[in-house]
Amino acid sequence: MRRVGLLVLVFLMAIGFSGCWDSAEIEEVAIVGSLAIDKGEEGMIVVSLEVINPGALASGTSGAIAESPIVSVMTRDEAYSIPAAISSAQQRTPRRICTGLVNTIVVGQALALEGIGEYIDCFVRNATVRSSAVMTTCDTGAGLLQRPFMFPLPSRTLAGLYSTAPLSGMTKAVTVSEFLAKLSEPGIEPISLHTVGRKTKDVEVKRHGEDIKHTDPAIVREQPTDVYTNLDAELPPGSPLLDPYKESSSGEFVTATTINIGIAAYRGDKLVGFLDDYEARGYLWTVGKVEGGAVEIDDPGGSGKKIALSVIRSSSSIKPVLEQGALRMEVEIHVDLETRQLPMGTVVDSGSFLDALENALNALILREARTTLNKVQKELKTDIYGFGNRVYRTNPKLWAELEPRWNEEVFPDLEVNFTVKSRIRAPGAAYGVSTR
Amino acid sequence: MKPRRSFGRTPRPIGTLGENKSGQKENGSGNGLEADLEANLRAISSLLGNPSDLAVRRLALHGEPQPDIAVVYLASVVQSQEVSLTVIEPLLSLSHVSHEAQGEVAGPLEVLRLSLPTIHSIYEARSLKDLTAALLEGNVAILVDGEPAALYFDAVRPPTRLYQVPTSETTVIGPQIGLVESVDDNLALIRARIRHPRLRVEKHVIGRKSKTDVRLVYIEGVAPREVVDELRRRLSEIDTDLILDTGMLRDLITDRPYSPFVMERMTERPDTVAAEINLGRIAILVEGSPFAMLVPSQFFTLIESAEDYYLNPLSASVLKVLRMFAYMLSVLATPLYVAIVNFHFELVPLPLLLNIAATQEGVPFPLPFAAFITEVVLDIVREAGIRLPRQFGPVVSIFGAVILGQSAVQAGFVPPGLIIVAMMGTICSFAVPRAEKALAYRLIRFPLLLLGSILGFPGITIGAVAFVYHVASLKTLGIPYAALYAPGQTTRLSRKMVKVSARHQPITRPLAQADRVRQGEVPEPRDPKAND
Amino acid sequence: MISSRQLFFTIALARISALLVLLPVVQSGDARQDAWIAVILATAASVVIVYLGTYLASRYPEKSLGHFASDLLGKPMGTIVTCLLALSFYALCLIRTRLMSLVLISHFMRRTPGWALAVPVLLTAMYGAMNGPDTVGRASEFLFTIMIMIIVGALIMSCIWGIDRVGGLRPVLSRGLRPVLAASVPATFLGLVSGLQVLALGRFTVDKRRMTRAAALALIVSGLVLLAVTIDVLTTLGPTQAQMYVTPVLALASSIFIEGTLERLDLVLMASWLLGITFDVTTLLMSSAILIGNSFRLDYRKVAFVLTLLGIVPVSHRFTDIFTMRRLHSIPVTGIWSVVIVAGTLMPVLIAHLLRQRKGGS
Repeated sequence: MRRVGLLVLVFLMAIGFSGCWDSAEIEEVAIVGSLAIDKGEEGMIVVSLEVINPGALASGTSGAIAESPIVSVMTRDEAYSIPAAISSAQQRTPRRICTGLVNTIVVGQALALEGIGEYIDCFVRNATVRSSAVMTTCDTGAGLLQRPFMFPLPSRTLAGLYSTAPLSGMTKAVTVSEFLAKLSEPGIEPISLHTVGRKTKDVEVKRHGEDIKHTDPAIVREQPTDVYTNLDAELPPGSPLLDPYKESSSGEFVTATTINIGIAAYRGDKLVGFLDDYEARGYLWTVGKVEGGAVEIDDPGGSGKKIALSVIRSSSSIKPVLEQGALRMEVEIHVDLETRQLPMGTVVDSGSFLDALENALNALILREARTTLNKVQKELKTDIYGFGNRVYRTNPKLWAELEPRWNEEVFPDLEVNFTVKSRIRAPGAAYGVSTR
Repeated sequence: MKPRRSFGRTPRPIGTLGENKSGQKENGSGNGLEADLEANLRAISSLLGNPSDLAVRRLALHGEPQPDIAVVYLASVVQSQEVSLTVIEPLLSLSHVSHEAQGEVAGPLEVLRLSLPTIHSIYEARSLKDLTAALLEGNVAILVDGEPAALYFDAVRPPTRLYQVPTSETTVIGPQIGLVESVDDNLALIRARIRHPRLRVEKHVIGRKSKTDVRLVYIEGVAPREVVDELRRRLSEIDTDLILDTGMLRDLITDRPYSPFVMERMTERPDTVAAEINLGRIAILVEGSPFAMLVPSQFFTLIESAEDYYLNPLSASVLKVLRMFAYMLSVLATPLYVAIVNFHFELVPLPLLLNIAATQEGVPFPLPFAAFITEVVLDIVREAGIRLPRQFGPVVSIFGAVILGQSAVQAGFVPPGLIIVAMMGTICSFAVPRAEKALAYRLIRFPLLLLGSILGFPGITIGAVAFVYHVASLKTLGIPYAALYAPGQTTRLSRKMVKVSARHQPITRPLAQADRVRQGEVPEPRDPKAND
Repeated sequence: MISSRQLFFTIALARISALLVLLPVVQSGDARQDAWIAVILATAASVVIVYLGTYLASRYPEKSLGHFASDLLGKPMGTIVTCLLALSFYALCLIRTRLMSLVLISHFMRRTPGWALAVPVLLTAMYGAMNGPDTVGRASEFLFTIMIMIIVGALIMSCIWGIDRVGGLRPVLSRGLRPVLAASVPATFLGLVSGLQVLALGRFTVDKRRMTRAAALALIVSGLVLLAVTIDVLTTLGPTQAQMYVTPVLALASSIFIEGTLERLDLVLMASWLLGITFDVTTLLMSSAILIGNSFRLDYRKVAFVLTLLGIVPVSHRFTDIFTMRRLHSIPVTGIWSVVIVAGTLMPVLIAHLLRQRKGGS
C-alpha cells in the first residue's frame, strides 16, 4: 500500500509542476451573458457577445478596486461561423471568453429567415453552452443586447423577462434544447420567442413574394430609435454599453416594459412568421400552455362593462380522428379561471351567471384559437401545434403516407374541431360586489 | 446504599446462560447458597468470571468449635479501609461465636449480625444471585461455613478525585460525570452502570518501567470472543517502557497507525462506555488516564454523541444526519469551492458568480494557493486557541478571526468568498462530536484540495472514491471499520443514520443468538383516563 | 467475504454506470422511440445469461472460474477459456477508462490531456482491486447509495424543471422488432459482462444460495433505473435528437436548470457518473485479476498491479479516440464479443459440468 501511495503522490507532483490545464482564475475569465447572431455581409454572420465586467458590479465594500466603471462590453465580429467570430473577439479581449453562462441567444430576424440550423448545432455541439439557454428572435440581435434596460446587465434583464413573461399568458419560454427537439421530431415545427421593441417600426420582410407583417396593432409604428436598429452605424469593437443611468437621467423613462414578447414560428430551421399577444395566446390555448394572465370578456349581464378573469391553469388534448378517409383533429381545451374584476352589483354565486360567463369564455377562447389556427394554417403553413406528430404517434402508417406533403398540402386544409371547456373555479375572494 | 429495587421494567439479565427457569419463577431467588463455604466462594468467583478485583478475606476466629468466615467484596468498588475497620477488627476481637452465649435460638449469622454494631444496616442473602448482585453494587458479604445464607452490607467507596463534568464531550442533557485518572474509580463508575455478573474485568500490567495497570472491560457473550482473544494477545505481546495514557496504548494495538482514520474511540464518559460495552465493544482503561478506549470502533461512531442515547428519536436522528452533513462539508467545502470557481463556474448562478468574481478581482495569489494557506492558518489558529490558557483563548480568536481575516480580505490578499467557505468548513468540523477524531479525519481535505485544483470535480470525485476504498479496506481487530454494525449487533445504514426508538430496538444478545429479538417488556402506552 | 447484498450493489452499480452515460439503447441502432423496449430486452437477456453463470458459480462455491474451468476442461483448455473472459473484463476496463476520459475532455475539460484523467482513475481502481473483494463490496454500499440518490434526484428535477416533452414512446414497434433487437445487443453485452463477474466474485460471497437472486435482482434493478432514464431522455430530447449526442444523458441534464440554485445539472451528474465508472473499472480490473490469478495460481493482487501498469499506455495514448470507442460499442462488435464470451467461455464450462454431473449421477 505504501508503494501505491508513493506512486499517487509522484503522479500528483508531476501534474502539479506541469500546470493545471483547465483551471482558470475566475477573475481572468470574460463571462458572456448573452449572445446574438445577425446576418452579415456576403453570407457571413455578425456575432455580438455581451461580455460582463464583474469588477464594476461589485457590491458592498470589498477590497477589490474596480478598474473601470464599465459594467459590460459588447463585442461584434463578423465571420462565417460562430466559433470563428468568437475567436476573433478573443483577439481583442484581455480575458478568456467563456460562453458557459450564456442564458439568452438572440437571433436576428434576417438570419432566421434564411435558416439557423447550423448555428443551433454550434450551441449543441459545444457542451459548455448550456442547452437551457432561452432562444429568441429580434429584428436585430445586436440591437436587443444594446438596449438600455432596467438592470445594468442586458442578460440579467432578458433572463428575468423571459422567465416572467409566460405569466402574461401570451408567451412561453423556449430553450435551445426544446427548439432542437421540435426540429428533429417528425410532424412538429419549432417555435422560439420573439422580442420586439414597442418603438420599432413595422417590420416588413419579403420572402418568396410573401409579406410577413406584425399584425398586432399594439405595436406603435414609429421611426426606429437611435441605437436600436442602426446595425450599420459605426460601433467600435469593444465599445461600452450605453450607461443606463445616463440614459434615464436624460429624461426618458426606460424600463423593461419597452419590450414586447411574442412567439416566432419556424418551418424547419427557417423563420416564417410571428404570433403576437392574442395570436400567441390562441396558439397557447390550443397546446394547453397558458400559465396565467388575464382574460377580458363582455359582461353577460349586459352592463356593457368588461369582466376580467385570471387563468389558473390550462391544458389541452389533441386527438387525430380518421373517418372515412378524412383526417381531422379533435382539440379539447380545458381552462380553469377565477374572476378578478366585476361590474358593480354583480353576484357571481349563481348558476346561470356562471354558465353565461363560461359560455362567453368558451366563445372567446375558441375565437382566439381559431384565429391563430387560421393564420398558422393559411399564412405560415407550418405545423407548430404538432398535429402531424399526433398522427405519427397514433397511426404511423398514415403518417408515412402523409409526411411528404404534410406542411404544404395536408396541414393547411386540415380540419380541426375545438371543444373548449372553461371552468370558473373561484370567484376570487368575494362572491359579489356590494351595491347600495 | 440499599440494594436497589428497580421500578417499572425489571432489569433483564443479559443472556440466558446460567439462568434457571424454575429459579425465575420463585421471584428471583435463583440458586440457593450452599452450606459449604468453599463451594459458595467458588460459585461466586466463577459466576463473576474470576475478576481481578474480587477480594476474599478468610478469618479464623478463636475458640472451639469455630466456623470459617469469609469476607468477600470487589476491591474496586468497596472502601477497603472501612471493611477493615467495621468488619475485620470487630470479628477478630470477637472471642467466639458460640451457641450458648446467645441461647439456642440464634444461628451463627444472627450472632454475627448482632456482634457488628458499627454497621448501620445488614441484609441477608439466601441465593447466589442476590449475593452476586449485592457484591456488584458495592456490598461486602460475610459468609460463614455451614450456613446456606450470607450477610452483606453497603461499603461503597467515595472517589479519590472529585468526578467532574467531561470537558471533551459536553452534552446538554444526560449524566454530567466524567472518568478520572484512577482505574478503580473508573471501574466503579462502569460497574455502577452495568451490574451484571457477566461483566468481565481483566487486568494486564503493561510497561517494563511503568508497570501500568490496564483493564479490559467487556460483557462476556456479547463481545465477540475472537475480538477479545485478539485484543488480549496484542496486549500481552506489548513490550514497551512506558504507558502513560490510553493514547499511547492505542498506538501499540491499532491495526493501521498511519491511517488518518482513528479506529479507536476515546471517551471520558462512563455512560458512553456502558452503552458501547453493551453493544459488544471492549473498553480499555489505563491507570492514570481519564479516557477509556473503546474498540473496535466503526466509522459511523463519528456522528454519534452521548446525547443521542437521551434525546428523543426524532431530534437524535436529525442531529445525526446534520453531523454527517457537517463532517462531509468540513472535508469538502474548500476543495469544492476551489473546483467550482476555477473549473466549473458555469454551475454558479450568474449573480452569485459575478459577486464572487468581483471580490476576487485584484487578489494576487492563485485561488488554490490562497485556499491552502487559509486552511493551514485556520488550523494554526484553532491549535493556538486550544493550547493557550483559558484567558488567552478569546484573544487568539479575535486576532485570528477578526483582525487577520478582516484585514486579509480588506488588503485583497484573500478573496472573502474563500474565507467564508474555509471558516464554514472549520465550524462544521466542530459539529462533529469527537473533536480529536475530526482533526485527523479532516486531513484528507488537503489531498482533495490538491486534486480539486488540478482536475476540478473529476479530481475530487476520484479522490473521494480512493478514500472510500481506504475506509472500506480498514479493519480493526478483525472487524471492518466501515461495517454498519457494532460487533454484537447487526444494523443497517438507516439504523446508523437515524435513531430508532428503544422499543423497536433489539436487545443485545450473546453473539450466538444474535437474532433480532424485539424488546420484550415495553410498557404499552395507555391512556389512564380512557373508559374502555 | 462479501455478503449477497454487497454483490447486488456491486453488480447494479457497475451496470448502471456502464450504461448510463452512453445509453447504447438510444445511441446505437435505430430503435428510436422503441429504445425503452430494448432496455427490457437487454435486461432479460442478461438475466438469462448471468443465471447460467451464477448456476456454475454456486455449484463450485469455493472456486472461481479460474479453478473449476481447469478441473472440468483440463489445464490448457481451462486456462484459455478463463483468459478469454478475464481479458474481456480487462479490455472493457481499459475501454471504459479511456472512454470516460474522452467524454470528460470533450464535454468539460478541453485543455486537460487524457492521461491526467485516465491514469488517476486506473490507479484508484488498482488501489481498490488490490484491497480485494471485501473492500470493494463495502465501498459499493456507500457509492451505490450516493449514485442512486443523484440519479433519482436528477430524474425528479427533470420532471419538475425540465422542458416540455416533445417526443413520446408511441408508436410502439412501428418499424418491427428488428431495430429493437439490434439496439439491445450492446446493452445486453455490457449488462452480461457486469453480471458475469459473479464467476470471479462468487467465490467470495458468503451466502451462495442467495447469489443467483442477488445477481438477477441487480440486473433488474439497474434495468429499471436505466428504463426510467431512457424514457426521460426519449420523451424530453426526442429519439432523433437523443441519437445524435455522444452522451444523451448529459445532454438531457444540460437542458435542466433551476434558476438561481443549480444552473448546470450535467456537471453534478458527470461527477456521480465518474464515481460509478471508477467503481466499475475497479470491479472489472479485480475480476480480471482474480480470474487470471486463479488460473495461473498467482496472487491476484500482483496480477492487478501488473495489469494496471500494462494498461496505463493504452488508456492514455492517443491512438484511440471517441470514434474508435463508438465503433467498439457498435452492434456487430458487441454482438460478436458477447457470442465469443457465451460460446467460448460459458457454454464449454457449462456443458462439461453437466456431462460430469450426469456421469457422476448415473
